[in-house]
Amino acid sequence: MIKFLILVNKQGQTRLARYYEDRTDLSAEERTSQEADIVRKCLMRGEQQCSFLEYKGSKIVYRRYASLFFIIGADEEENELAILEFIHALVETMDRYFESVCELDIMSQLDKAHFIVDEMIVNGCILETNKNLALAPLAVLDK
Amino acid sequence: MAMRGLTQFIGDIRNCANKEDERKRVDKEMANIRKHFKEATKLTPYQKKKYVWKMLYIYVLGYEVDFGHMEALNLITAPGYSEKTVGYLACVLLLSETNEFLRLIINSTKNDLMSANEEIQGLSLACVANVGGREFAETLTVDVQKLLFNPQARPQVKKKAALCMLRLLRKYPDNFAEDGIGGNQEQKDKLLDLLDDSSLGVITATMSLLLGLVSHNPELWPDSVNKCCKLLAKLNHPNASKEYGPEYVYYKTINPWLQVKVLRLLQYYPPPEREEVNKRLCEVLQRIISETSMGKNVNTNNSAHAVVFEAVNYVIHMETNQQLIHAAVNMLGQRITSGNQPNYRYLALDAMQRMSHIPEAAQQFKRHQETIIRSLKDNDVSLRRRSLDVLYSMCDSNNSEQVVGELLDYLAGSDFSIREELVLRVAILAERFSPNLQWYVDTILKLMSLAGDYVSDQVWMRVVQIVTNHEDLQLYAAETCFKALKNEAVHESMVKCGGYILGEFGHHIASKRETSAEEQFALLKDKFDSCDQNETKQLLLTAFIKLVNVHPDKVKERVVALLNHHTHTIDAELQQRAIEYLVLSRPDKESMLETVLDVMPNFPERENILTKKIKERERASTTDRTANQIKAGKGGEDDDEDAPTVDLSAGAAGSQTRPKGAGGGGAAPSSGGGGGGGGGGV
Repeated sequence: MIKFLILVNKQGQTRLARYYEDRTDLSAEERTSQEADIVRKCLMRGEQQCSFLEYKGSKIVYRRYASLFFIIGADEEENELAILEFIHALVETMDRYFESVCELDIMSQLDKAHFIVDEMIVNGCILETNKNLALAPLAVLDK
Repeated sequence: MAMRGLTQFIGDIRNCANKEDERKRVDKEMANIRKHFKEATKLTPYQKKKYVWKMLYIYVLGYEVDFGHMEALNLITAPGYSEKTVGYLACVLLLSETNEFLRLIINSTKNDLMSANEEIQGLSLACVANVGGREFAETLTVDVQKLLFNPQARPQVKKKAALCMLRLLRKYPDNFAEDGIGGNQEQKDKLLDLLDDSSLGVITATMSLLLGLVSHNPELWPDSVNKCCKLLAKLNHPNASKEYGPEYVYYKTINPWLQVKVLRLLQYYPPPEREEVNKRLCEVLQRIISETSMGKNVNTNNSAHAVVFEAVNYVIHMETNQQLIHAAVNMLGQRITSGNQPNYRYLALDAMQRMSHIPEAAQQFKRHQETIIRSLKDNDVSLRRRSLDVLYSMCDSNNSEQVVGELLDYLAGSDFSIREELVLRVAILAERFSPNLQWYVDTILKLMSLAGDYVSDQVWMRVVQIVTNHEDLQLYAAETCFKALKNEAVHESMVKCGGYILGEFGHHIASKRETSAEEQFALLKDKFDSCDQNETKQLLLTAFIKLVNVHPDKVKERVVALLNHHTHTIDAELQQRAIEYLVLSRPDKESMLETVLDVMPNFPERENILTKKIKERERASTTDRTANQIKAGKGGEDDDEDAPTVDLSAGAAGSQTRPKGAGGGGAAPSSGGGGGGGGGGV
């Protein structure tokens, strides 16, 4: 299952974070420092290196879009390429909704961004990858 | 629905010049919110929403938010849809499963589940699916199940209900088993029928649910195999996109995520028994593996290959289909040499490592040995790790010298995080595939000189076990250790290892002048003075007294002087040994000395401590058991990795004797137990 999904920019600021496994042991500070740690590891890697890492027992799959890193941490079972493409599907869905999405959009309309994520991942499992269906409830919300 | 207050706040935060300012602004806002929440009843829903959103934003930024949970919960009970969204989201983000607040919303979620409005149902289902705990499971399972199996429910609701079920079942595992859904045939059939639903969203969600169920009790769901094969064939059929809708076609592959899940479920079961199902499955797999090529578009490639690699996993699981194995090996061979595609190289290396236990595949992978060795030196740490794994699996008696040589070179320049594991693996490989035992001793000694810090005690103790049990190796071991210890800067593990070996087997080389007893004593005394750890000193004391036993006239005075020196030392163990050995060295105790320090008996055959250590390090952190874990649980007895590879009993031809004194093997040594996992009597 997917353990977490975070969007962090190059300065280490988290723009969106969703955790799908119990994280009672992490305080807010530890959480942010862990997120920054992961981002630093991703930043250290070059363009030519692969998008997969290992961090504290989970697989990390990341993809960079302009200034934002989309990072997903998953357990050993998950298929890395599937997750990589899921990130892209998520970005395309956001793209369609926000009309050419950028970091600022996500920051200023955090509620919509969360909503989209919640339509596509539930309880750590990939649920809906059809862009129309994922965006449908959002249209209801906007009315 | 843009909340101006929120946008303003976000803008302010962005304009903050540094962390200090940001913190001040956040604190100010928190005080503001706290003030407003105190008069909670006077807030309009819009305002409540706004403040809760600000709170959430602060939380995502990384500050602790320890108030306002009640207001968030209250929003859930509000009638408006937008308020409910915020309320549920706040609960999911801020509260974790064990938080008591969560109990308060069980009732409101239950009401929302029954609501006529599907969006609201969806909201509450998602919330329970993401944070539901055991109490949720107890109260809500029946309701969720009703929603799932209701034929009139919209797909939107059904798919979330399926994932919600998964969470509830995980929290309350009894529901998985015979007395829950597992035993109820009617419910099982209904669940499997959901796989024929027209909406791929529902099918995807059901697959996830099914995967969870199967991983807990594979024996309860044998019918799922046929259904899955049918589904896979349907998805790969050229008409698939027309049937399920073009939206699901993601860069020319139809819903790769669903296909991956189906393939994963199939790995929990042996290949289908029915002939035609099996045949169709193999055809589909063959097409997937052989006909997917690398095109120009990254995303197309990725989505197609996601399915390919999962298919390869299934082929590895099946193990018997030669044609498929051949196809998979070809494909992997191509991917591993794809120069500028590091992702594929990574995955190909990973798949190769898992495939190398299949003999036909392993043979063909040898062709790529050079490429793998080159990847070992790649500047991408992930690739280096994978190639290390592959080399370890690929090593056999033919290429062991080369592989171990490469690994030792790599060790010299590797980063510290993997050194310990690397050392363990080299030690195991050296033992398992050594062309001769001398090479084994050399390799371990080289290992110690290269990465002494990471050589745990078990590694050199293993060397001792092997040397003890092979009489013909003892001379060589003593000579090599002596030479190695002559170096100035020697690592402490080397001192321990060499000290023990010289003590026990030094008599083999004592006849030569350069390595006489006096020389051995001088050498060890030198190290004794310069070593740090007390354990080393203790070990060396035992070695000294063994020297006295063998060559009483030559070294006794000096050893006694040394022992006298340490009778008042601070370390208790050292002191005890010094005093005891002093007593033993007295002339009237000569026979006792001989008995006590008689030749060590051979070590019995037991599980190699090193392989045990490697297994301990492989942690499982998944919530469901993987297919491999289930297999490992069943087939544990067949696993022959445990069999000690160097036959410990091979060298035990009769009793070994020391030159002086008639030793009959098997007298108990002085301190420490005999034989076994740790080195005895050091």
